[in-house]
Amino acid sequence: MVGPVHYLVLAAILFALGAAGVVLRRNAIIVLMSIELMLNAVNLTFLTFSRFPLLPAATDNLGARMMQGHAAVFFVIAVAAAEAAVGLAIVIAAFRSRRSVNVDDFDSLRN
Amino acid sequence: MNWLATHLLSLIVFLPMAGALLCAALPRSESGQHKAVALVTSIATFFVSLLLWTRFGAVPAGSYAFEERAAWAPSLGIGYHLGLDGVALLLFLLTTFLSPIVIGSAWRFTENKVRLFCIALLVLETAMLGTLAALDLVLFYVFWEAMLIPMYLLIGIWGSERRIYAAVKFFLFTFVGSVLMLLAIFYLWAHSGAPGQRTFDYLEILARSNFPPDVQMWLFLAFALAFAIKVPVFPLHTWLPDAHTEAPAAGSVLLAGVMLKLGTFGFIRYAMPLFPDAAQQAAPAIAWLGVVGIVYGSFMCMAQTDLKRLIAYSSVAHLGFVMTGLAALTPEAVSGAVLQMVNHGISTGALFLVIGMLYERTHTRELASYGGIAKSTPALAAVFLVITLSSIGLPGTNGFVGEFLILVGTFTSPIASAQALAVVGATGVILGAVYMLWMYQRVFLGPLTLPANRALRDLSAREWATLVPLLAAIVVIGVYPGPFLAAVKAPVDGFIQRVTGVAVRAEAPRLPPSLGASAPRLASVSPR
Amino acid sequence: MLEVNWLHLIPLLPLAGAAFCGLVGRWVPKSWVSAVALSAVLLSFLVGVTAFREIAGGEGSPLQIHELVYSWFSVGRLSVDLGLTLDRLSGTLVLVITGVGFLIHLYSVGYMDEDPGYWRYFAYLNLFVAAMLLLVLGDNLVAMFVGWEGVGLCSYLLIGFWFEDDAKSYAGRKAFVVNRIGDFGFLIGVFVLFQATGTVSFASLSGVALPLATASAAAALLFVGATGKSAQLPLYVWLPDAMAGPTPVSALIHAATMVTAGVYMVARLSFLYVQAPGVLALIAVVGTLTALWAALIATSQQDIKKVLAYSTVSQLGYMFLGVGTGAFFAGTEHLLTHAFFKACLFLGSGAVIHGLHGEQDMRRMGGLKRHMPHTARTFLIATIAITGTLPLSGFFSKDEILGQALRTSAFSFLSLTPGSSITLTFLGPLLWAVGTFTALLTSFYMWRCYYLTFEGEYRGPADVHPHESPWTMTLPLWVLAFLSIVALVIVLPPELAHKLHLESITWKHFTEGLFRAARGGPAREFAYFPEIAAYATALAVALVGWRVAVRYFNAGPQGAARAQAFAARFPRLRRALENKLYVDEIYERIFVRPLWAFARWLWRIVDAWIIDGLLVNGTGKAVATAGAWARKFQNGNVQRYAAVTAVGIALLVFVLLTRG
Repeated sequence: MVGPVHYLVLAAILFALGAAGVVLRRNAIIVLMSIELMLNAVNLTFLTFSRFPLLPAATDNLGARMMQGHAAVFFVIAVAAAEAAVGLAIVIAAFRSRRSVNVDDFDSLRN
Repeated sequence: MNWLATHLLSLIVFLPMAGALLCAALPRSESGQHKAVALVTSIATFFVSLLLWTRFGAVPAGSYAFEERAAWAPSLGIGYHLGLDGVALLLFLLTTFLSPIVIGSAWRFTENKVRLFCIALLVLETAMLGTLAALDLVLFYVFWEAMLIPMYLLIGIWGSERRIYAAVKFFLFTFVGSVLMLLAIFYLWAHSGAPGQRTFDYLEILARSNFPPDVQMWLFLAFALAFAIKVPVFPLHTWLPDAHTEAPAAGSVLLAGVMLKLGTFGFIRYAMPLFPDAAQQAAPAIAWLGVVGIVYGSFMCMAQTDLKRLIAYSSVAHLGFVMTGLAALTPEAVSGAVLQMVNHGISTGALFLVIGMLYERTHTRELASYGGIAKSTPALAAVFLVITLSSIGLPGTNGFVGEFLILVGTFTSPIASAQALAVVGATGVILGAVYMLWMYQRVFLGPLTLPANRALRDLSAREWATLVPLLAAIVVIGVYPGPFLAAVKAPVDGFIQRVTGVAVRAEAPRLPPSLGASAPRLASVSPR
Repeated sequence: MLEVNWLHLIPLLPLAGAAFCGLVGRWVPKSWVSAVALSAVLLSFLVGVTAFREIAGGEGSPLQIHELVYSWFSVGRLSVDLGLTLDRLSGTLVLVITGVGFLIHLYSVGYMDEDPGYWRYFAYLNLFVAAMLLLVLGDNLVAMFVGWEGVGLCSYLLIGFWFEDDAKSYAGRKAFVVNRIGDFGFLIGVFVLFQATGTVSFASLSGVALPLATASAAAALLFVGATGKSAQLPLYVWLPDAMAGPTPVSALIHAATMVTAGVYMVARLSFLYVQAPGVLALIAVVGTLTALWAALIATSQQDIKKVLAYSTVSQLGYMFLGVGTGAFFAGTEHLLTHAFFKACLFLGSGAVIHGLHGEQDMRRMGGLKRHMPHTARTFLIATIAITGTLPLSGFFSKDEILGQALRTSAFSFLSLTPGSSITLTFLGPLLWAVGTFTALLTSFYMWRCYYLTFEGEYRGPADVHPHESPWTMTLPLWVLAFLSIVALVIVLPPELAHKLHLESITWKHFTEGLFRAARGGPAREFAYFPEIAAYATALAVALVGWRVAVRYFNAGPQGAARAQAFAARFPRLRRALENKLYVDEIYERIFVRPLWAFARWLWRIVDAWIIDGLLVNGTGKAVATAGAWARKFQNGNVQRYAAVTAVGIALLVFVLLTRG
């Protein structure tokens, strides 16, 4: 059976891939994509625990299941979208001044 | 009118600041107006401060005259509390006395940023006066740090070649000590009472402080470090020669004349009375550092080729006397130390003033560029000689009374190795004559070899006006030190009592058993 | 003790004179300057006479008159007043200071006539008189010290009077610094006394019995001050150099008054010194050695003023021998007679120098008695006085000292080293022998000086025409010569004085009761014959010295040749003596140069390198270096930052989860 562990492992792998991309990739846009990947991994984790709650019978007074995890996902998606927009705007502005999207080139705060 | 009487001290402390604000309001280009405002303000401050002297009266030990209190941040225990005792009064008057002289001497000093210059001098004066009058630890600290910025600007903007280095060194060095002192102040506050009743008030803390000796030692060291750097005590003195050499004459006079004294003032007002057991333990060490300062400073003077650096090291030597006197803990020594604080301000301030006048004419401080100047500037040479004699403690000048009292008090002091301290310290008398007269000869006496020095002009009326008060003070304090010593008697006795735990009694001279009948008395002469 | 309120006029009048001459003298006519200066001293002299008559009146007159001018400063146990006491000793000295001082002021009017610094000179000279009077009249150690340093200051100002000459300025500075070394000792002595007794006033101190160690320490330390001020071994080196100043200055300061301050101090503090007999012995020994040392050097000096300078050092040595044997009256009476004849000699030499337009080398003098008869005759009288060739004042005062040394019992209870059984009874006669030999040398060098200068043929350059001085200069010479003769009545030995019914005006009688008696009692009384023998020895010695001088220096070219031949037999000794036994060079090498080198070393190594370099700037550099190293972590790469943050958070979470 496909249980919560599988989802969590998938989410962990996605998170690790995203983190690796953030740290290792040179292209700024790829870095932003990797950040999106990490955020989605987190979304998956939230949904997993929402679907497979740790505490049994997490129900409210009217008998419906608690949906905090799903609600959190909405927050994260919205924030991710905003952050992607801002991040891409910064990349475009930086590209205009330095004509490169290679992260290694943006080291004017060096030392 | 009554408001004026009760808030006299605040008025005097902030009067220069008001002058600075007025300067700031005037347009930048009117340099004459700025200088006039500065001069008038400082003269007015001096005359109003004379009221303090006349109204001082005899204040018993432990209490303060002209007290003012106002709430500032009561929830934190910070209050606005001012007051003066005899020691603070003397230094207060020294500050207000020197400031107009400094401003008058700097009249033709610069055309560069005159407004800022005047503002800096006036703010510096307020900060120095506030440091002396503050009776709340935070207020004291604020004023203490506030002195650094104008002096930093004075050195850094209007100084000589290495002014940035000297200004930064001065600032950082002094600041490091002060920061540790701030920690100690917080500790004092934290232990001044239950939460909600803690205070920064000096008198309260003095009354309540009851720390075990080892804690006292740490606190004492924290305070002492800040003040020792300021004095400066050997080996924390190396900022002083650089600061003095690079500073403009006005800055040097105020630095040597007043600011250094605030370090010694910190010892006698804060560091030692707040932590009496630690102070008693540390007294021999402080005295030895003072004596080392005397000898070491004198030797440094002998090795200098730069006039201002030489006088800077002589300050180290003179203040070594003061520190030794403070640490000797006898009424003679401590009174002498306080008097010597004032004396040093006058004589070394005057020295820097005259050297500044020389620099204005020759634009060099190197001894080798002088020689035989007494021929072209006889009046200046004569004045310089009088000030030199004051500096080396010739009887009749103010320096003698202070030095003699310090040495006598140290010799009869109960602290360890007191006689050795006094003997080594007294060699300062010889060394002082050695380097000062050597310097005087190299600058003023001998043949006038360099043609550039032939055309030097002698003292102008303005320069005379700035020097005459100092010369008068040298003679008056030397011949008639009574009123000054009387003013500090109560705080000195209180200080000694607080630190040693032994009250100072007015003792009649105790004579060992008389020679009695065996001694041939002065017989009346009978014809044979 | 009589309290008065006019005693302060004595030092105040010259002080006012100095203020006038110093502040406005530059712009007023020369005659005003000299008028003010001379009248200040003269008025002071007249007040001094009034005071003197008060205390010297005889039966019923007070022993001292006193004035408390004001309370100078008073802190804790220490109370220092500016008080003045005039008794027979200080009263006499006041008269000498103001009287001889007036004569020298008068002389200076002529001597300094063409000097542009005329006003400065008289200001300093008046200031000196004021300070010396304060020294002598002060009623406590600190007031005396004010005068003590004050005369040191005036010495500095006057020796370096012609300040455009570097060597002269250096001489002035040397005098001040060497004096300060002595003053250091003086101060410590004052501290010792204050600590033991709580007072500094003479009146209170004189009634105190001090433990031996304290008294000896204080006495020795104060004597160190005296060796500085009164130019004894080892601090005499400033006095010969002090001849750089104008000659009247040498006469007043370095012959008659300032240098006698040390002797005065020991006499004034006789109550202290008799409690420290070991120190008295030391004083006597130092004095005698100094006398011999200086006399040896004086025999080979070519500069007339240097001869007189070393002679002064030597005669001061005699004075200290006098007080050192407990015969305070003997030392002080020689002080008085010496003031007269030495001032006369110096002023005479000044007249010679003035008349020769600045020549001071005796090799270029000679035969001047024809050109300067007054100067020559007064110089002759003074020379007779100092050498004791005839029984003038110098003979009696010097031989009183030597006689006291021969007969003293002040040393017989002292042992050579603590605990040894050898007593110092031999010391008195030994000092007498050395002193007598020194008298021989004194006679020799003084007569040499006279003959080289005034007798024989003139050896100077042809274009210099020696001339006699104006009356303002010769009058003081005659007055002083007269005083040198007349002063003999106050120094007559007791028996002779008794026969002439002059006993009551001898110095010994006059100062009876003023000085404490030394332990061991007064000098042993001699019977008639040994006494006469002692006097005869002294006279013989003086005559021998005279004859030798005549043989070499008053016999024309043959004499000169004989002198050269004699000197050639001891070339190294002669050179050493001519070069003042190299004392200055030794001091320079052992003390002066190492001191300055040490200062420079200290500055370069300790201050600039260790403290400033290593500790201060080193700290700064260390912080900067650490910062530069830490900065390398910032490579500007955002990814690296993110990775480090992630690792850090992971660690933090790990720690929190495992530690709880």
